[in-house]
Amino acid sequence: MSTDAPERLDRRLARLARDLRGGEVACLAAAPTVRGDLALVLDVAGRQARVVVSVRPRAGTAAVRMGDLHVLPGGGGGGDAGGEPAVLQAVRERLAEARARGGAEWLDLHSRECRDIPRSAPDLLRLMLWQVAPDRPFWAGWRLESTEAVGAGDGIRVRLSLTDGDERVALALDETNRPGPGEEPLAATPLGLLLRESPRPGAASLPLARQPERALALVLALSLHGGMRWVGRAPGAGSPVPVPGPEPVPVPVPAPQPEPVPEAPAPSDPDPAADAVEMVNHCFTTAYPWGERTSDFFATWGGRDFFNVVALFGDEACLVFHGNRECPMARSTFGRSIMQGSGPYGDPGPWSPAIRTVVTDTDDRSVVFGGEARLEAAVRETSELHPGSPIRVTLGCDYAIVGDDAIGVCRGLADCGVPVEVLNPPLPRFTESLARSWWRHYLREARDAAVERDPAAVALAGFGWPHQRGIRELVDLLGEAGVRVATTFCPGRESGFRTRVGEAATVVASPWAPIETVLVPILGDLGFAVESFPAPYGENATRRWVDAVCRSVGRPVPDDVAWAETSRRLAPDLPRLRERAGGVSVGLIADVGSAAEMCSPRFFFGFDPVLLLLDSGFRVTVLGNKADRAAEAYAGLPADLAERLSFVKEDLRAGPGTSESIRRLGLDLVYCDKAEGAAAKAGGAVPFAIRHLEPGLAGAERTAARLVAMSRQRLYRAYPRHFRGGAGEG
Amino acid sequence: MKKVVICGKGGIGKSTISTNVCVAAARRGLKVLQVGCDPKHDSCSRHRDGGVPTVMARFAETGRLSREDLAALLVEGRNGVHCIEAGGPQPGEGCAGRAISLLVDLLRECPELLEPFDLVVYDLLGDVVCGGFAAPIRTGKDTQVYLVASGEFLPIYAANNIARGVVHLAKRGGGSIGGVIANLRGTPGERPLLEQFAAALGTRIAGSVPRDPRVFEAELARRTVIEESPDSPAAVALSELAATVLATTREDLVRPTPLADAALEEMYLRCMVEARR
Repeated sequence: MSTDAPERLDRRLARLARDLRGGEVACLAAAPTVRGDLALVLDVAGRQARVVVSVRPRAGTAAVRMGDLHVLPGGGGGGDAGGEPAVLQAVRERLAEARARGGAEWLDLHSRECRDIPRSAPDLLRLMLWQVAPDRPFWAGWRLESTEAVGAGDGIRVRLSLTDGDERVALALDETNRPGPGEEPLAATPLGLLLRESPRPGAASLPLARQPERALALVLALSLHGGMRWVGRAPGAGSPVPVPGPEPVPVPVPAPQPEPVPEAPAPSDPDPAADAVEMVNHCFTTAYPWGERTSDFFATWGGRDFFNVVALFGDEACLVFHGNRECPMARSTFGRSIMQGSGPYGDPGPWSPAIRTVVTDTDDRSVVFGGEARLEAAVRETSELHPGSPIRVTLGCDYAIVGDDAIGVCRGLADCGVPVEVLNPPLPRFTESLARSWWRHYLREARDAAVERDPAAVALAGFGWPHQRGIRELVDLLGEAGVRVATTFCPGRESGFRTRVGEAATVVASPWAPIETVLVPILGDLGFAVESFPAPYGENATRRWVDAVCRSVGRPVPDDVAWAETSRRLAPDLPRLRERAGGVSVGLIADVGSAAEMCSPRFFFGFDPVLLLLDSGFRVTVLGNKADRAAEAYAGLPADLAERLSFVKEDLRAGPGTSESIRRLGLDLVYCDKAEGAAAKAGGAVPFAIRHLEPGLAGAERTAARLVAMSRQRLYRAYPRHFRGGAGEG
Repeated sequence: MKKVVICGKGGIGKSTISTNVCVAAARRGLKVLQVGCDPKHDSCSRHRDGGVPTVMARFAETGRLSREDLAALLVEGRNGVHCIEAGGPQPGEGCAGRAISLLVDLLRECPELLEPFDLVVYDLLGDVVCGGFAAPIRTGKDTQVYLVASGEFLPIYAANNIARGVVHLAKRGGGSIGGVIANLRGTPGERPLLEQFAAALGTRIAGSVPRDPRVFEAELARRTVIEESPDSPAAVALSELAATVLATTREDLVRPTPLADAALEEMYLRCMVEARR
């Protein structure tokens, strides 16, 4: 690795922008995106357009290719001219000319490695800005407003100002890992300690203030190259350290930009864009380790992301993803859907693992010549940053790990006292990893732990985070029925899990497909007694679940009087809420998969959403393909429930569109797992998601209250057209 | 431009055949490129004294590969044959298959580099054990794949195995079989065996190279047999093979019908029994 002083990236970018001027294309600005691509703002015949130059091809989006570069059509920026082939052609030509002149040599496919970066305040700022560019949303609308580097030598600090709407949050990134007086440490990131600075006197409370802080910590942690280190002293240490090679500097102190450069759109789905706008639910294709394709339906959202979550969260471990940082596993595991609570378990997961994560960011060179050194550097660095914390290594992207003996590397480090272990979730294409799956290993240890089995104890698997309010209430509810919950796990796990799971006579598992397909067989193989009951969402479902759990351990079920008393105590407002819910029409739109799947606990996170909504007093409409088949399953419903349930068989893709169907049916609420819910809003309905639903009795009341309150929002009904075209729907 | 892939069991003579075919084609006035696709990077050593610098060595050194790098690494050897060697990591490290696929991808993205050539010969390594090593076969439907085999069981077993891969790759737009090249070693019944094998695959014997000590002598002189002993039986056969390759069109290519292992073994044993009679 060269020790030559690198050219500052802002200067390179300014030079590139200059080089790209001429002909029909005028480049107004060039800036890196958080994803590591390059965004160009162009003035094309008086119209502003944006293109993204990617160093990697992206499926379905590469419109023009130029050697290593892939020019992607970009939206926004005041025009759609970026999508016109002629413009892209012009951009390509200008880039080719710039390249020929040597002005864009750093944009090469394999030039993402950067040289060592001197340890100074401006360079900390540069590194910081490579992760998050000012004045651009880096997380669902939150923007980094300004940055300021202060100090030198021992005390380098970057002061950050974030905006969340009109509110401001003052943060500091301190590479010495020393909080100042009155400062609240938020997270240790590879760039230094993230601190919340003392609030201004008299400042209003910030309801969302923690979110951008979390987001920033995540962006810093996930975007950072595993081998990125500065030349010089380690944060918080007094002695010089050897420096594994830093990384592309890609971001500069940005040159003044005439217009903010919005983040590049996510790579497009295989579905046509029109479909994406009109859909309320994501499409996930799930294939389990043996290659069986289970469904396209959204709720079978399992696979590697899911198993990373369930395996990784729950203790204070640090994580090292060995793979490329663009690997979907590394990104989506900690993506918005999980960390902001819209994932399958409602509440956000514990945050700490996400900010203790390092991605080794393997590239082609690592693949060809091996990425073991990079992995070792990342583990050592993590160990230095978080001394004493266990470190888990997960092999992110199968493409990037070919030939690397990650287990051997970690074994060698463990011999040197680094508390590291490799876990490899059962990835679809790594069937052999089943044998060494982390859960299997972990549960085997639990099985072998010499603890006395309690015949009245159960363990709960697959129902929710241990800390989740609804789960704690379920534990109490079972306790009142004489059933002790030894532990809850998957997602997450409680401390002492390894011994406590062995105390349980029975593991009660969710019937949700990922749990049923992967975790239940492992439990069975290891000799655990496993029972599976639909998850307790709604009052009646909760009672059925409690009764079933009691029976599974031979305990008497609570009688009607006791249950009525418990229900009155925990959900006193539920009867009143049911009356109010009677005027609310809720839609379950199976625009992916079938209506039968939408209603099935196997696919809908372990419970039947129709029964939950009916039990809560709502009128329910199930709309979609094969709705007639779904209706057959509810033939035996009591009349009072059946009269509030309707099924509409409709091929949404062939019809006038999901939004139009929602409007026609006059739905107030629509289940929607897309982040923005534009299709539901455009239909005049309020979108709700799994995060709005809670298990247990009190959870049933909270769920009903929440949905009733949401149904009163008339904004989307009044102004549906403003919610069309959700660019964020992907 | 014709694209030819030479593959077969390790040590069967692929590099020797590739090198001589290139020389023979070059002597016919064609512009020829030999692409060494073996991490051992010894494919093109007979074309150029001092060897050929490898692409992966440059990649390891600079961490980048550009069109200019490739152009610089594409060197001209004797007889006007151009050469490029992929190279790769040390044995036991990294992923050599990715190195090969990387080179093929880069060449594909720089079509102007290949454009001047009339014939491009990819010399694969012995065992096509992963998709990376098979990348040259995926370079197009008109890519001619030749299986080098001799009259022993293991070479035809390896060739049959590669034929399976070709079937799979052909479905995705990869090349097809141009024929079996019989690299004869003088074992009993080898010619009928190879003819039966080629027939079973649905293809032909594209060329038969007789056992010839002058090939060995040429190797000692670090030359091709066509250069050293142009009138020798081996040189004549290799020149004829080159003519066959150049005359082969897309219509001559076949999607092979590889045998089941048991059937292959039975065919081999039957031929051996007949040869002993």
